[in-house]
Amino acid sequence: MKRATIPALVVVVGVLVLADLLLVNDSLSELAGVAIDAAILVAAGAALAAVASLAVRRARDLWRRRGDPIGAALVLAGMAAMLIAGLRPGAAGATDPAVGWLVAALLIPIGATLFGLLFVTTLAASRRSLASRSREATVLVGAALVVLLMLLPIGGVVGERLSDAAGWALAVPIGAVFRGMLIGVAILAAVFAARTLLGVGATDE
Amino acid sequence: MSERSALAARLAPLLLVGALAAALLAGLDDRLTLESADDGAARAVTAAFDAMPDDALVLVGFDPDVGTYAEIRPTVRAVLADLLNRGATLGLVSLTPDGRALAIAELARMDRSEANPRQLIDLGFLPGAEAALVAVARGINGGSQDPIRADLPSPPDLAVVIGGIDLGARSWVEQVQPRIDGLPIVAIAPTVLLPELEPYRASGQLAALIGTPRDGAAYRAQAELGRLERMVDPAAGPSPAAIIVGLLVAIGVLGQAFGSRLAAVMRAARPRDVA
Amino acid sequence: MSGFFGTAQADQIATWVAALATIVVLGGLLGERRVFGWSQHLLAGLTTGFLALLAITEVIVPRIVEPLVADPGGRPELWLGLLLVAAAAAVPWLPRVVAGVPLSITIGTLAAFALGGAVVGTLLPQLAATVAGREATVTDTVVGVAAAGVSGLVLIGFVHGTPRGRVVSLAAAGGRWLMLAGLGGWLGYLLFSRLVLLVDRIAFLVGDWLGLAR
Repeated sequence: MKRATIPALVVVVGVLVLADLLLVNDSLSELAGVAIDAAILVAAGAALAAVASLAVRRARDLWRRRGDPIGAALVLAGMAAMLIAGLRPGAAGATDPAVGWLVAALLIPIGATLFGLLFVTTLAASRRSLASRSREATVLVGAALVVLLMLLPIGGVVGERLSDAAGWALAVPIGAVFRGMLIGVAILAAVFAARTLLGVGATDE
Repeated sequence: MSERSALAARLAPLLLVGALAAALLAGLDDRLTLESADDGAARAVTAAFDAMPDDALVLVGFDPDVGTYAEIRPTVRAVLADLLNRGATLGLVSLTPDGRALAIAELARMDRSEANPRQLIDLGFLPGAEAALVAVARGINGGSQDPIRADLPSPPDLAVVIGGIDLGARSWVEQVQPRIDGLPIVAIAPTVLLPELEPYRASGQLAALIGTPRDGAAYRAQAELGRLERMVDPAAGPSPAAIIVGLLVAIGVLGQAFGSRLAAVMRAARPRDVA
Repeated sequence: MSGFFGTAQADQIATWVAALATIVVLGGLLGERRVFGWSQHLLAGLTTGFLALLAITEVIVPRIVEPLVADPGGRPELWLGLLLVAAAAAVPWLPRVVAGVPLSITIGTLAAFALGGAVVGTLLPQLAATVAGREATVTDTVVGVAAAGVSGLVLIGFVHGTPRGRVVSLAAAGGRWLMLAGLGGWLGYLLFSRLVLLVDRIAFLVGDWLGLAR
């Protein structure tokens, strides 16, 4: 296979899928369906590749006693526990109660607590950014402070006013800023995607 | 950093956790309320549900993150119970591993409760993010041979997207809505995604959006769940007392640093004025 | 209450394990990095294991293996699908030309979805929503015009890397400061979101596990 075949395949697949969005044609739709099904199968295969690659790397670390052997063993143990729970004879796959137990007892608590921890680390990072004395950090943290004040769930007239202010701030200034950013991101994404589909690289310019 | 301030920096998180635990144990939550005074978001969700036909089919895109699900969990459970109580059939599909893990946990939970299993259709997991979303949309439009369409009794009347950071309402608006004419989308998302999704709500691409625990609490206060009230833990929302304590800590920590910074700027400006 | 646990013995053990895992991760706050690091390794293993489990049991087996076993000669495209899965799974170890096939399919579809979704789902509707119209009151109209101005400035600030001309430079600079303030607002929402998650984990410890609160 020549080197040009791969970019050509990207263009063919991309144009096919894009044309299916814009045109109503049964044959085109069927072909686009094949490409989409292929993308789903590739994603499943890629997931296996990622898992296998991690397992091989950690097994190698463990074998050569490189890095943190307990950490490597825990990665492999976690993987093995999940796969055995879901694939052992008679198991119901991902919906098996043993898998559900691992999810509820370990996956959710560790993941959720990690995100909770980010409250403290984000707060500390915001404070540190002010210490850098940059004007940008001052604006950033100042705006965050205003939003935090408006989100205080207190009752009474003050609470109502804060709640109204929070709704207005979200709908008008913050909403307007994010709308501008979304449009900007959409333009850049569209340009980048179009360049990819047309096979335009940096060297072509 | 001096030894004393290093110790203080190390103990500060412990004090915060202690303060939050104390707020949880203080028993103040009965006297405080989390509900937002502005219940517009809650009313929009109820209006979208009211507009559904009888025995509606609702496609639920269940893709919250394991990390942020706790924030929307009480609202999600109330929404599912509300829809089931209205006689709707729910088809749950997940496009992220986290979403699938949580969908399985919630389906198991509903199975243990009084939900009618005939109202629940598990459409499973599809990888490929955008490709999977397009496959879902094509499946709904397509013939009964498609794996998604084959499991659904009819095209959906409404989509409820329970989103996370990886994949959520924005992807549904971009990939599914253009491919299915007139499908209203109701979104439930963690607060962190609210500014990103607000423009889609304002433009009408999202029929309704619940993006903060306060809006969620307002919705839960309005929702009529009938006999499925037991599916929802009445004390499930975050504790208002703990939220107030945490917010005050955050405001205090940032406010002190912000004040010091402003004072330093003013001090630096003063000699120049005199000169 | 998380509501994930029932009353069976396995659920009670799960509550204890979950509490232990929560305490270990919270220990990271106090500088206990070693055990905290191990919990992250375990999380990585469980997450990737679950991903592989989903890929096998919810995609490859029902979509490819089962139909092939039922009728090996009936649908030849399934053999191609199986080859594609195998090629994607072996990408790190395959020659570049072979690995390029699944990669091309991924890149091609991703680019097409990004382009179509960005234009049809975001760009056109959001541009339409930006256009300020006459509102019910003069104040609302002024607010609408101001919001449209803010969106416009942010867009200029976002898109222009090195703006040319004084007016565009000023607009881009103003847009960047507005964007910064908007991101500051987002930081406020982020902190609020993370606080709710921290409160939930502490509520799990004192409520679900110790049975002290609510």
